Amino acid sequence: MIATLALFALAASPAEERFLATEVIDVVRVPGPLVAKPEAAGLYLPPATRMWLAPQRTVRLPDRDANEALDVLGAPRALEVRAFRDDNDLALVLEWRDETEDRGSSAETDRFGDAAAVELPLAFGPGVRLPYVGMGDDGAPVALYLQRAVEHGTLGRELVAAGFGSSTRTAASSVRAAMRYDAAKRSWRAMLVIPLVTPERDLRAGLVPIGFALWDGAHRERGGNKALSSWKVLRMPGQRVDDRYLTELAWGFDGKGDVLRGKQLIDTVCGACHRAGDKRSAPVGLAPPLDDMGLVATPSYLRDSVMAPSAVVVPGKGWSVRAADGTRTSVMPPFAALPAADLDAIVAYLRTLGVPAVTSKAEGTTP
Amino acid sequence: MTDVAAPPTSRQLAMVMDLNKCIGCQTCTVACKTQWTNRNGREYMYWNNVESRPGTGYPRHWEELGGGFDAQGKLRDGVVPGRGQDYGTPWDFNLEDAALGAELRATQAPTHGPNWDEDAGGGEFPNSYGFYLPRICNHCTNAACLAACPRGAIFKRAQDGVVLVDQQRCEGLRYCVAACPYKKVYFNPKISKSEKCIFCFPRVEKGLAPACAHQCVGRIRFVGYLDDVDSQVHKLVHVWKVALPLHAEYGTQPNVFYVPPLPGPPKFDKDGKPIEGSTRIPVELLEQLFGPETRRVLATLEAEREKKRRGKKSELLDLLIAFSHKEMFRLGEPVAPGLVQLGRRGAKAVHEGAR
Repeated sequence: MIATLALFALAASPAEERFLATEVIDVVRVPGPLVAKPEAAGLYLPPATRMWLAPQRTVRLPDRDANEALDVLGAPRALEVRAFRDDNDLALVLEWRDETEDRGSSAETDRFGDAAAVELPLAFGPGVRLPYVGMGDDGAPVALYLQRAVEHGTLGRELVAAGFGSSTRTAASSVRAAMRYDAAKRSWRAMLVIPLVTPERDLRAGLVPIGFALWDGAHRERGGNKALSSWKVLRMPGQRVDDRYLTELAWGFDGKGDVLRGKQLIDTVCGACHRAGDKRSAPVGLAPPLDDMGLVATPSYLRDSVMAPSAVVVPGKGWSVRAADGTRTSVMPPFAALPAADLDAIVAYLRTLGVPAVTSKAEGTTP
Repeated sequence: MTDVAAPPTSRQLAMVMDLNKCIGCQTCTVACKTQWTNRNGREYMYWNNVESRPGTGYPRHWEELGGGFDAQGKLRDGVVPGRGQDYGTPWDFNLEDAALGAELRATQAPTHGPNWDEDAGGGEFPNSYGFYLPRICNHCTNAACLAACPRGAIFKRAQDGVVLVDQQRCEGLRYCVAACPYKKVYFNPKISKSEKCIFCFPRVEKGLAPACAHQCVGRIRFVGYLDDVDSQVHKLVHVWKVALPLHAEYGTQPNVFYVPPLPGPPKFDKDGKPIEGSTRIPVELLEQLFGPETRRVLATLEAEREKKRRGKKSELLDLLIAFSHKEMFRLGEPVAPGLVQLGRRGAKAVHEGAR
């Protein structure tokens, strides 16, 4: 790790150092071809990147049992990710703990399979705004690679989406997926192999944003009822890292904001509409709860949401008004005139919300 | 869940069922099942079912499984029913062995099924009572299934208001199943898609009534467009106002309407004499199903029946007698023949058969 950081030591700001240490998954170059065999993936044993995924609570779906599970059992979930590439493909190995192996059923009406997915923006790089992490948004589409445990094996699926409810299967799927439950460790290992280059996107870049989602079938999770990560970043071996992009992505990771000041501002100003942390006086449904923002939102997304909420509204999620010409205006007023120190403080506090006590990049080789 | 407004529906097909004439023969159920749901994961589905009232219905206690909208117009949480307890797994009988003398029995222990409460009824002898409640998808104006689908896979056809699941967009997430307060969307586990009553739209497009209505031996079902002033559904719903939606409080604005069953005859006292002014079916039970308008409707029905008894003319009774299919089913010219609208993907020509 120290050696890796040394490459950036000349330019790396505190924010960039912290970003590289916590948000980046180093992709390991291996001889190809890459095969979706979860049982073989562990042989490479590169370090895993550990992250927390938070239950999706922004959009409430109308399933009573699923919502009860979410309310009672919905907690951040740990995911470990390893990544490899050869000349043609990217392989992702996802491991997470799940007490029960749940598979879909061809006979029952109320069984739901455990599943995992990764999300990649179709366009990214310096100056390109990241899509909304939950299924992209207008003008910022994402590619989705899903794998789900079905009755006999794994179902792999490739979709594109540009907003909630818009996901559509691609005509031809290039995804190779397999997932395997380890009953002794009570955990899933899922392996996904996708091409580095498709007509829609090209992953041959130094830094590639990537998001993750998990579904627990025992909690009746499916569709938007899931746990999701914030945007993380793959660092590709053998590709130059664009300094401008690194600076953009690392915004707000310096942790210089005053968390206590941020909490005071959230509780007194934002708390009128949003529920956040222990400030719970806002009516349910008036504005999205901020409880898991530390896990699902990047600092730059939090910045934009405060300063210019209409720039990051998400079609289909509510909380915006659509004009006749199609432009959407957030129901939240912009706080563009906020002093920089207050913005830093708000972002710093929001970054703490939902984060379990221990969050550090795992250095071990096994979960 | 999308904030994209559904295109306005220009016309609405509707069905009226006269519960005074339903004899619970299940011919409608069989007509529907043999046409649409006897295969490939649909065996347990009853797009049309007839349940005995009082009774638990199909799926079991569906009225307690949530869904629909609250008073503020927000979706209420609902439940995805399970096969064993809620629907019951379809069973067979040992017919071949029974033919050779064995006792006739089910090949697996039944847990629930369509019309599980067949003829159980309510009340104490000699004041027992019961009636039948046939149910199909209500093709609601404010369909909860459509509102709940996070994929926008459910749509309401502009030309007739029929609610359909776009099988290409459906990912089998089952939020529609949870959200439908009538539990009339079913999940097909074999193909992992949700399916439902399609109001026999391929028949309707050729000018034919849905199979359940056409086959009904009691002629209890009227089919037509609500805005067609010459249709009998229009007359029953809007002119005579004797046909009421089922559980209007669910907020979905159903387009299947019921003429409630008359609650008479009077009860007997312990000496076997009729109790003046009493009714065998508690009117409160009917109000639970059809709402506060029920008493007014029953009064209208009684008054018109009395007219007919006295040899006077009653247009309403003549309507309800249902003299001919031609008058009961008013579908007009085939609607957009050969065209099926497939959700947001626009119109697509389909096989036109022998047209």
